[in-house]
Order: sequence, then C-alpha cells, then structure tokens
Amino acid sequence: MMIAICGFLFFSIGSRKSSAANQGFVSQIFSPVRAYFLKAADSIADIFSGLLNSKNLKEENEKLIFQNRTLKSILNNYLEMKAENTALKEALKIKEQKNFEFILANVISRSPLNFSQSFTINQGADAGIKTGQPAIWAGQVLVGEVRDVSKNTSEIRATSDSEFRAAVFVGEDRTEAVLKGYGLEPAQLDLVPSQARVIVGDRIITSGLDKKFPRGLYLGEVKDVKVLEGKVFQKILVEPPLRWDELEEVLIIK
Amino acid sequence: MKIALPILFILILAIIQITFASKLTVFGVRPNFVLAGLFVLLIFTKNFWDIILAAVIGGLIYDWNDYFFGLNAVVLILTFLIFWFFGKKYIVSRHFLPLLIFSIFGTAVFNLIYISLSYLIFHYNFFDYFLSARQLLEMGLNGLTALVFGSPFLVITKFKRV
Repeated sequence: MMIAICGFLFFSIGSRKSSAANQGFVSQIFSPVRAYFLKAADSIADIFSGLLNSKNLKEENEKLIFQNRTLKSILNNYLEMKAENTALKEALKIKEQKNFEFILANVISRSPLNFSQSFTINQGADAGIKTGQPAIWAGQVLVGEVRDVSKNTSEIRATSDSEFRAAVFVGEDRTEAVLKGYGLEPAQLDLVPSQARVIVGDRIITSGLDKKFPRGLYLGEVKDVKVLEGKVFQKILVEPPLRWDELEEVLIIK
Repeated sequence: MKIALPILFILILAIIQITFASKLTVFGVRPNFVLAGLFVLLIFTKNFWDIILAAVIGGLIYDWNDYFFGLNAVVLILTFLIFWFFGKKYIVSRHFLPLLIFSIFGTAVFNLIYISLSYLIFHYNFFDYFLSARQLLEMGLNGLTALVFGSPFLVITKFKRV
C-alpha cells in the first residue's frame, strides 16, 4: 500500500511539467458534454425560475397583449388617416385644376335590394349638401348624384341606377350621348347615331350640357358597340371604372 | 324573451343586408336576407304577430336605406300574409324542403309585388330585372340563404323529436 502511494506521488511530481497539456486534452474531449450539461442545467433553471415567476410572466404577457392591441389600434388610425389624406390630396388637385369645393363623406349604408342602386352617406343639409350635387371618387370618377337630403345624411343615386341620366362626350371625336343606368345590367349610351364613330375602349366623360354635372368627370369606357341594321341609334355598353357598392368614402362637389 | 328572438333575428339580418350584403354577390345579385329569414320564421315559429312585428322592423330598416319609404315593410308583410294564409296549410312537417320551396317562390312573389307597387305608386320601372336571368339567380340564392339560416332550427327540431 505504502509502495503504491509513493509510486503515485512520484509519478504525479514527475509528470507535473506535462499536466497543463493533459488538462487541455481532457477539457477538449469533455467540452461538448460539458456544454450539453450546461445547457440542460440552464433549461432546468429556466423552468424552475419560470415556475417561480409565473405570476410575473402572466402579468408581463397581459401587458404585452394590451400594448399590442393599443399599437394595432394606432396603426388602424394611421391607415385611416392615410386613406383620408390620399383622398383629400386628390380633391385638392382637382380643386386647383377646376376650382371645385368638396365635402368628404363616409358611406354608411347601401340599398338593400337588387332594384335601386343607391347608398347613404353621413353628411346632409347641415354640411351644405343639396339634391342633384355630383358625387365623385378616385380622382374625377363620377359615382352618382345626390338624390335625397336629410339633416345629417344624404342618399346618393349611383350611376348604374335605372333612373340615372347624364349628358356625355364619347371618345376623341367627342360624340354627344346620354348615359343611362340599367340597374345590375351594364349602363348604356343612348342617342348615338349609327353613323357616329365609336369604338371599344373610348373614354366617356360628362359634357356638362345637361347643366347637371360639370364637364370632364370620368364615367368609364365603351365596353361593346352594336350597330343594328335599320336602327337609328347604336347600342353601346359601358364599363364603369369602379363599383359603387365597394366605395367607403365619396366627395360631394358643392 | 320569446317575442324578442324573432325580432332580434330579423334585425341582425337587416343590418347585415344594408352593410355587408353588397360583398356577398353572385354576378352582382345580392340575396335578400330578411326575406329568407322571414320564411325561416314562417316554417319554424307559430306566433303570427311575432313574425308580423319582425317583418315590420326588417322592412323599416330596408326602407331607411331605399328609395320608397314604407314600401319594403308593406311588401314584406303582404308576402308573409300570402304564404301564411295560403301556404302554411301545405306544410306537413318542419323540413328543409318546404323552406326551400317557400323561399324560392316567395322571392318571386316579393319581387313581383315590390316592382308592381313601385311602378304604380312611384313610376319606377324595375320590370327589366324581374324578366332577367338575375331574378332566377336571386330566387336560388334566397333559397340557399333560407337553408343556411334555417339549418340550426332544423337541427333543433330533429333533436326535439329524438
């Protein structure tokens, strides 16, 4: 026993010089295992600290959810303001060009049945809206006219309504015509002589000759042209630039 | 409470109709939620006055957003009365088939009365719509809508039987 202890001491003293190198070698071999154990220990520690701090975590989670909702609401406000800003900028451009005065209004409801094509806006007589005023959107697109006004709301007849009429110019030749709404069917151009040159894709704008709408408001493009034999007028279908039932805001020209 | 349920049901449908229904179109045609809802009530409830009250409320909400004030309420009540007095006796059981048939033909009756009255009283001509394929499409859509709204009632009826 004594001999073994002495031998071990002798060996350890003798090999002290190379102990640093041995230690490096051992730590290299065991380092992945050590890292694994460290990780596992950390995870276990996290679990325990999580369990101990669960109340704090819950509170923090609730706080973050609240913050997230607040930020979403702020973002929503920002997007609303951005949309309104774009619309007003567009209106300002038209105002500078044509000297129009506008009232910005939100669409609050739409006609329930398939017959009449109309919608209600949240501005009425108090804001200066009168019957017959044109409603526009997306630049200078005519979307309808004010049909009925109450104190705080107004009803807008869309250009596709079967009672809607507007004097228009068609194409580069500026052929005069009357645009008629046909409900769910595409609007048509009436009173275009069969000799007149109208082609698919021709732009349709208000002529102002009916003294109802200002000149130059856009109403759409020619979708289809049919020259019927023996008929005095052509049958022309119109493609509207936007759908009235998807509008959320409109500008009423004063 | 029982009186409030049919009214609440129609009220919700009327609000959906004037707000979101324009996004639920098929070839531009919207289903008539209140009309479909009335036929669901006609098949699954027994109280005459509850349905009349629901029709009045649904009709008035329509009227506030439509051209002719009062017309929708009157036409909804007339359509309901026609089917209550002349159709109800043919309903043998609370089944999806009478609901489908009633809502399909009810749409035609509702539209015919609405168009005739709007022409006679207000001189608006919507007959083009009535004679178009879209009218048939609306009949089909209302039939499907009534089935969708009626399905919970059908399930409840089945469970009650069991």
